[in-house]
Amino acid sequence: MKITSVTATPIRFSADNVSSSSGPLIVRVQTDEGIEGVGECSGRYWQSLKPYIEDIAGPLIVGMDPRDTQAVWDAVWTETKSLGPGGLQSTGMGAIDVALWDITGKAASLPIYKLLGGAARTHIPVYWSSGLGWQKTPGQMLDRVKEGWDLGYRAFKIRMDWYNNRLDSDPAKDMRLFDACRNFLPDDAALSFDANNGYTVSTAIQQGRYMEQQGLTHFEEPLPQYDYLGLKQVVEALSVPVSSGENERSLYNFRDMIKIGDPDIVQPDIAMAGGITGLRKVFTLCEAYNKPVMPHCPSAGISSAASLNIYATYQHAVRPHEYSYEFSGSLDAVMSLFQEPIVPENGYVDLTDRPGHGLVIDEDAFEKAKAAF
Amino acid sequence: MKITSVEAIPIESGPLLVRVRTDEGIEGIGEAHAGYWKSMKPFIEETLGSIVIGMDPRDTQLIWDAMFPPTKWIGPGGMQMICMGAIDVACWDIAAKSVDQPLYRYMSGAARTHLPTYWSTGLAWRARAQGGVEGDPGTPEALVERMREGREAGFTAFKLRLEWMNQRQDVDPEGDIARFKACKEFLGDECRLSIDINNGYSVSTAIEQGLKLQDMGAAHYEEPLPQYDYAGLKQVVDALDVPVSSGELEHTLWNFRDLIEIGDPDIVQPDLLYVGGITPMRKIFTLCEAFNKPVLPHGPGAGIQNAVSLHVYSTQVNATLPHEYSWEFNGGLENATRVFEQGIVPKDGFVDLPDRPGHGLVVVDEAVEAYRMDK
Repeated sequence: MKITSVTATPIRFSADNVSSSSGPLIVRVQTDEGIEGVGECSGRYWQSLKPYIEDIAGPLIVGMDPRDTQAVWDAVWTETKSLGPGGLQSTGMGAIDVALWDITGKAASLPIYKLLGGAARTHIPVYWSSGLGWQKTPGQMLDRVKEGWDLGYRAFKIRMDWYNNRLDSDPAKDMRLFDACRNFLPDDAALSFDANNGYTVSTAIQQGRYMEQQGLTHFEEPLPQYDYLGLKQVVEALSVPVSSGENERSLYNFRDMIKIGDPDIVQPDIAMAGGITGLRKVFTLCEAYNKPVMPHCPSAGISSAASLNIYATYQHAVRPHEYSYEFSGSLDAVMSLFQEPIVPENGYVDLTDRPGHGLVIDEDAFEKAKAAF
Repeated sequence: MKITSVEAIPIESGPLLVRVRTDEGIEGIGEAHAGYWKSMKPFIEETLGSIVIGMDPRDTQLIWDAMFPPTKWIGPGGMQMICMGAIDVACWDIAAKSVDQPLYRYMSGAARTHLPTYWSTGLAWRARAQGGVEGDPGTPEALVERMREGREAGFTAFKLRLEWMNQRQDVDPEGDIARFKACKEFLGDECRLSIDINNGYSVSTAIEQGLKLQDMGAAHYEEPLPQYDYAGLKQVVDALDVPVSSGELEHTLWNFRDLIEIGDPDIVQPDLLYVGGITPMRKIFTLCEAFNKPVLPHGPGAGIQNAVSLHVYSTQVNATLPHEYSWEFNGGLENATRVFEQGIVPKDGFVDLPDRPGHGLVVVDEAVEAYRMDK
């Protein structure tokens, strides 16, 4: 089997009524045997990602066997090294890699988790992830959490989205957001807190100390992602699990983060870490260091389905997986793109036994979403 | 003063020129790699352009900080830093021009403006891929010919780049010794000759090779290992007397911190574009100063990147080693200078920084139109 074409198409869900959201960039890989694979990445930088995927990576892999996922990955990684590592390169490669695994699954008539050695579970808990806390009042954040509660979710994360350019801007307000959500949720509902790189070391320790006393499930990215030494200080000071990893881009980054920062939970992102091929290696590294993984994936759709397919195969991956459609539009709008959807029910996703990742493009819906862009 | 437009123009056999224009009519020029212009042009013009238009180009740190966080998902390596670096260089060019000063003076003055450079040559792989050289361009004889070209151009310091990259580790270590030996014999003891493995060895091979190379008089031993193997680098550094260098593939201040803290190279080699321009380059130089590490910038080019790297290098009092120079990536000196009013070219192995305002490279519109690839 040979890859014959690679296309990247930005879309927008026409039925979408969430004004601030943008759609994903859909990557479609065709083969000479008529089997298509589909991947996706964020549409945020589609002007740069589209030519990277179609004009730069595409010619490198057309003619290769799509089932040679590692060989394809290596070919693109080395030939485009000066565009990376990180961001553009691993995101574009990740979207292609997912499409290739989708083809491989379809060619074998197996779901991806079967190709990866089989699922330890196919009924997977997910948590409701809700962000932009830095712009929100406690009441506004609470409304988002209530929305998830009404949909049946029983695990939650609130994200502050401060980033490392607004360190320690308003720690007291962050705690008011946390308190509002904690007071609403019963004690047995998990509530995690994501500072999104927004604190310095001592602020992170103070905030973490307060929250762990109120009932915090995990404390995510308290510091700028590159401050491994500082992370180590926060990890050692607190009892609550401290997590990091969504901004790491390669196996080597994860090695350094684990060796130096020693987070309690590691959170690779399927796109940033270079697709299924990249993510699996990171999972193995975490296994070697006995670190629980909890993938970063605030999206619904192909990336989420692919990330859940890998997550399902890890015996120790028992924590809830991230879930959100804030960045993509309503869940109905996202799933209207596919012939058959994958949606959570009562806070769980049941993985499908359809071949590949299980999401097949509905051509009419695709044309509409393409035209709406 | 305000930025009014940002344009990225791919030049045939040349850079991706970045032109930043202002409401006061002063233009600044930067460059990125043209090889990936199809992804970089929209990122520079649309994504970064929309952030910086309306800002004062002299606020170089503010501009850098404004570009970095909102585009973090496209970086930090490669794409993001190179494109931000091109805009940063253009802004510094404008800032220096606005006070009618050469860039080095705008950065607090040059310790020297007569700067030694070394002739950097390799590209065996590219010559092979393009079929541009007869026979095998990686033979000792072929490499001696590339040294001869530099020697005849007046250079007295050289570097042989093997360009194995980390996907071809330990392919031909014995051949590498023969390649170095032939070049060293041709150049004689009066010339400096360094060797660059370009990430191509594993630790024990790197040590075995390094012991031989230091006996043969290598001036410095560059990137023996894959760039991410900091712990391995430390083993190589500790085992050898010859200065071991690394850094051209690091892309942020904190990468350099980890490289230095863990790998402890003897010489640090930031690349102006890969680190994101003048603004972070100066910070990395300061970090190296704090750790007492000599810097030897990576910059195998002959255009804006090289000239600007020399400007920054000139301001460091302890930066006395020869700076990299090459026109191989530009397809010859003629190509490297054809879009500028006046080039900045070494003579007898030295570059004299011009006292023209900014970095001193001003584009000729007709030449840009003649060679642009996006017509």
